[in-house]
Amino acid sequence: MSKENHKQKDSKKNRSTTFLCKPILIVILCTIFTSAGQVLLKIGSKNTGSLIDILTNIYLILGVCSYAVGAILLIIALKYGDLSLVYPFVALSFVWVTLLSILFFHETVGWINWLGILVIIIGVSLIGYGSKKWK
Amino acid sequence: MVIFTIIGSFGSILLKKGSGRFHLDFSTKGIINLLTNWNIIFGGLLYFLSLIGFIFLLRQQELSILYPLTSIGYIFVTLFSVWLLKERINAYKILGIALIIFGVWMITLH
Repeated sequence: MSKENHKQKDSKKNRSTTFLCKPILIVILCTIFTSAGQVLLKIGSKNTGSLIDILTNIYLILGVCSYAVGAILLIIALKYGDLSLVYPFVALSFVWVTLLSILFFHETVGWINWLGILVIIIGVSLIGYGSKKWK
Repeated sequence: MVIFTIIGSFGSILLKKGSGRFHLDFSTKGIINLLTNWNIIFGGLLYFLSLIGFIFLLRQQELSILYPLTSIGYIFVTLFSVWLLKERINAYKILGIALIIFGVWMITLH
């Protein structure tokens, strides 16, 4: 496994489309985990009276775990892709958090916010598409 | 806020540098390898520091003002990755980042 990774790293110069897809898919998964983590932390933040409350709060524990998984996925994504490609995809967490806030907290979202979601998705897609050109 | 964003951006550079040596290996050797991966450790610390700074600032300033400011990080990360990691960027990346910053600002509007 690790030998294969090194081989991939060495052949970074002639990257193919599949090589590009891998870090993007991993970083998208990463943003889903961090967004879920944020929502869990928000739910858990209601019950933070004492230290024991915090340490036994299942939402806070799950939230932190979800964040940790997100962080590991980000590092793995960085291993396979350029920082200037992977990092902008982190912005997708803004999209997920907004959608999850509607779903779980019944927050109201105006048309300008929907437009913001659309603009972020277009921006991220452009970066992905643009990187495909560098072969 | 800008300082914390720069710290976080620098953290992501270190994470990228350390990621080549990063393996999901839970054997003793793997754990030692991770604990001596200073790029990952310091990168993670800087990332964490910028998060703490952000939470600290949140107590004094509105989220709707601070959130769009965090997206300045995308500019710094891109600049740093060209400057320090010698990555190549193109018009798509620049336009994409501009759209992301614009989109983040729109998401925080009420």
